[in-house]
This record gives sequence, C-alpha cells and structure tokens, in this order.
Amino acid sequence: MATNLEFIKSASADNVTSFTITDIFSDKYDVYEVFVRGNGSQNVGSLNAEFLDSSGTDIAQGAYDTAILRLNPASTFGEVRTTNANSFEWAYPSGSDFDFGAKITVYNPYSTSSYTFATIQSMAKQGEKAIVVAKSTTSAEQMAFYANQHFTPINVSVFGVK
Amino acid sequence: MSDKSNKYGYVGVDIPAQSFGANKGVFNPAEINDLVANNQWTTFGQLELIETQTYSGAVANIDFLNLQESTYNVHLLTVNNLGVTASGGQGLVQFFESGVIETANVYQRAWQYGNATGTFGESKSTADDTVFSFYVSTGDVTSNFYLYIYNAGDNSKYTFATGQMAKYDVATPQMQFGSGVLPQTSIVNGIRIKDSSGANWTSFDISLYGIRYS
Repeated sequence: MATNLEFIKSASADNVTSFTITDIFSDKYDVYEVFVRGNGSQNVGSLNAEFLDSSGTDIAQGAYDTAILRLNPASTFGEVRTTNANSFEWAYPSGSDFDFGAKITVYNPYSTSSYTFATIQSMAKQGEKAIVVAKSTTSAEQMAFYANQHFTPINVSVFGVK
Repeated sequence: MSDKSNKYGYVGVDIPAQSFGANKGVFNPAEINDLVANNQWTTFGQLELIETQTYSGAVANIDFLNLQESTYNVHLLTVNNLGVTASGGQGLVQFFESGVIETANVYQRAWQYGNATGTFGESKSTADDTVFSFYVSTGDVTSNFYLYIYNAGDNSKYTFATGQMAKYDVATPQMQFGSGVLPQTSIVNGIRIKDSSGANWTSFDISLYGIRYS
C-alpha cells in the first residue's frame, strides 16, 4: 500500500528538565519528521537536543555543527553558529515562560555510513530556522531533549517518511 | 474487567486490547471496519487530507472551518497558485477562535524574505493582525506556500505557525520563511486567507491536512 507519513511513536512528559524518546529511528526509514510541542518554563533560553545510540549515549558529543537564524518578532534577527557543540538548539523561548511548536526533519540517523543531518523550523518567543549536522556515523535510535528549567510539558511525535 | 467474548480469532480467552501498532489476532472484515472507525487499526499514512478548496470564482476570503482540531495537534496547510491582480496590499493568514475570526493586532510574526532581483530583509511584528503576511504588489502575483500549525485545539497553549513560501511577484521570484504565533490560549478552529486591501483571489488550490497522532 502506498503511504506517506507513517506514525512511529509519540510520548510526553511534564515537569522534567530532560526527556528521551526511545526506539524511534531504524533501518525502515531514511527521513523522519519529529514534531515537538509544549512549554519551556521560566528562564529557559534555548531548548536543545541530542541524538542517542541504542544504549542512550550521545552519538556526537562535541561534534554538533549548527547554523541557526533566530527570527525575533521584536528585534533584529540573529545568526547563531556553532561547531563541535555538545547538543543542538531546536527552539528559542528566549528566557521567558513560553509555549513552543517545532518540526525537526532528521536525515540518515540510522545510517552507519553517513552523518546525521536535521533541518528545523520552530516558533516560541522567537522563531527559528536551522540546519544541524551530527558529525558521527554511529547509528542513532533515540532523541533526548533538554531545558535548563522544566518542560511543562513536552510532547514529541515521530513519523517516518516513506 | 476481562473480555471473554469471541473476537479477533480468540474464543473463550481474554481478548487482547487493540491499538495502533499493536493489533493482535485474526480479524474478519467487520472487525477491521470497527477498529478503523475507532482509530485502533494499524494503517500507515498519517498525513490525512481534511479538505481541499479549489478556485471556482473570485472570492475575497478563503476560509477553512473544519480543522478537526480535537483530532489533530499539528496541521499542514498547502497553498498552491494563489493568485491576485493589482492588490497593492498584503496577503494575510488569520485564525478563528471558537468560530470568531481574530482580526485584532494580537499576532506576533517573524519572517525572512528574499528577492531574486532585489533585497533580502526581515518582516516582523509583535502586534499584527496576521500570523503570516506576504506582500502582493500592484501587478499579477502568484504565491505558493505551506504552513505547519501547532496546538490549534489546545486551549492551554498558544497556536503557532511555521512555513515557507515561493512567490512570483510581477515576474520577480521571491521567497519567505519564518514563524508566527497567536499568543492566546484559545481553541483555533478555523483559518482564513485574505487580502488586506479586500482584493479578490483569482486562482488557488489549497489543501488542509491533519497529522494524526501528532
């Protein structure tokens, strides 16, 4: 049967500073859509994430490169560049208690012959458009999401793109 | 309470609970139909078409009023060949809150634009009447864009939109991408596309999808 967007898993948590969704990447798909909704409670600057292997280890610790355009409705847009970082930013509540919505498109996470890439569109207090490369050929099966305060809540839904 | 009725190929034993990705048993067509109706049957294709509207005559407002927002947390709106002639205004995307169109300057938005033969720049506001606006000049304009819309049916969360556009404005290709928010905790159950000057749309093919389980 011809299909398009295939549901894999959804999960949520409340009042947590980190959240891991397991068993989402496999050899069944090359491209994934990850939708994230929720709220970053007070004093959250940026919201970050990592790709994890089957044992929960970050596949690219110190090896995330990003290019981010923060789209601020109230001020000049900001460019953020990182190389060899420990995680990547996917939304920017900008130090305020603000809801968020995001779509992270992930490429090749399960491959052991290519890096894992992602493109991001999100909106919180500020919008964001970003690219990410995790410079690792380790196979990822999970994602971890981090806030420096609590997610209240965080909802993650993962789909494979057939 | 255990269910020992005869279902799903089981006889006289506890019947396994059925859910997406976890169907157990041998199913007859009637059982499959029931599970599909109850959203308990595993069938892939979670980008679900809600409605398509195609141009059939000049119209000022294009309204989508069946978002099924209690079913879908994320929507995708694809706008193709949205045409207008000699507007001079802005194309706007507005939300209905519980059936009432929100036209006040309560939206926030931040969009980057770029012209193939001109400048790039920032289009932004913290007090606007639209979650996404796009300039339509005094000539023929054809716009194509998509928006992902988050939390429409969640009355405890703001409603967000992110998207990207490709436009042909008086023979000049233009692009936009960015984000917007209606920072009000409300039920959004409709979407309107209009021109700020009141001009009629002269062509369009627009589809609204829900992403199930989002």
